[in-house]
Amino acid sequence: IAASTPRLFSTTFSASEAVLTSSTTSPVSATPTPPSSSASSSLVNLLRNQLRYYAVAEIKNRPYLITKNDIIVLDRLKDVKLGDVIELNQIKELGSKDYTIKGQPYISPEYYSIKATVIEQPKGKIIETFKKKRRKHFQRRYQIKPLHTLLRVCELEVKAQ
Amino acid sequence: LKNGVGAFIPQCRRLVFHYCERSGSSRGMIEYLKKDLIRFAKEHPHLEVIVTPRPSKHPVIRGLYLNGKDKVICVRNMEPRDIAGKVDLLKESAGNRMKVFKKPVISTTESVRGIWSPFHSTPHKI
Repeated sequence: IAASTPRLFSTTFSASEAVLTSSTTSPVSATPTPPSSSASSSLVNLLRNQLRYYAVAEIKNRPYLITKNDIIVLDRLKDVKLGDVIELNQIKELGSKDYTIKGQPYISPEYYSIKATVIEQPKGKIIETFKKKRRKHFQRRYQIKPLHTLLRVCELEVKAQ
Repeated sequence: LKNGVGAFIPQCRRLVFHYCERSGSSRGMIEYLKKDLIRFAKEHPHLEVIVTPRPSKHPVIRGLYLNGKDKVICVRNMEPRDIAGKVDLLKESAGNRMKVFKKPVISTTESVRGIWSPFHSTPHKI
């Protein structure tokens, strides 16, 4: 598997510190603590000790809420082949059951590692849009056959700090 | 288990090219077979490429996939450039029926944060 870092997904996050909030679901709610730069690594480790994670990844300026083994359905990416592994580095939110990290606007890539493989580039079914204005002799039929790229999220990990 | 997580296995297994030596609709197909097919077959060593004449019929490309299904495309009267496009279409598919993708993410994992319940969230304050 060739690990490629394509130009499309170059990171443009700001240098400011990501905000870590704790959102527990128990009746005794924990108060959210804004992190100082020395405490942020311990807070990320809190997240890391949980069992499962999700991430809100931004691909081509669109958000996708993903967990591991998911399939992302995208519009066709032109410069990508079957089997290519893409590293996602525009991540807006990274979370687990009790804790989330929210990026401003993106999270620093030293906290996570998220990769997706291109598994298929199919054609979708014909989508037909029918427009009619009655009594005006206006009707149109638009047909689109969309092209897709399917990505499988093969890795979604929070790195140890 | 899931294709792409550990290892990626391309879903197209075999491509069969049928052509007719005499008919005019196979002209572009024969040109494609002579010029572009060998390079394509070398670039994709996982694909089994079969070329057989099928006299008095239109030229056809048949793709066989790992789930046992096949897709057939008739390429009559097409130029080699268009035939190459159809071959790419077959190569990059996975044997499933064409369908409308309604959601951006297809997932079988349970929700990470759980489903909301009124008994387990912060109590309502008046």
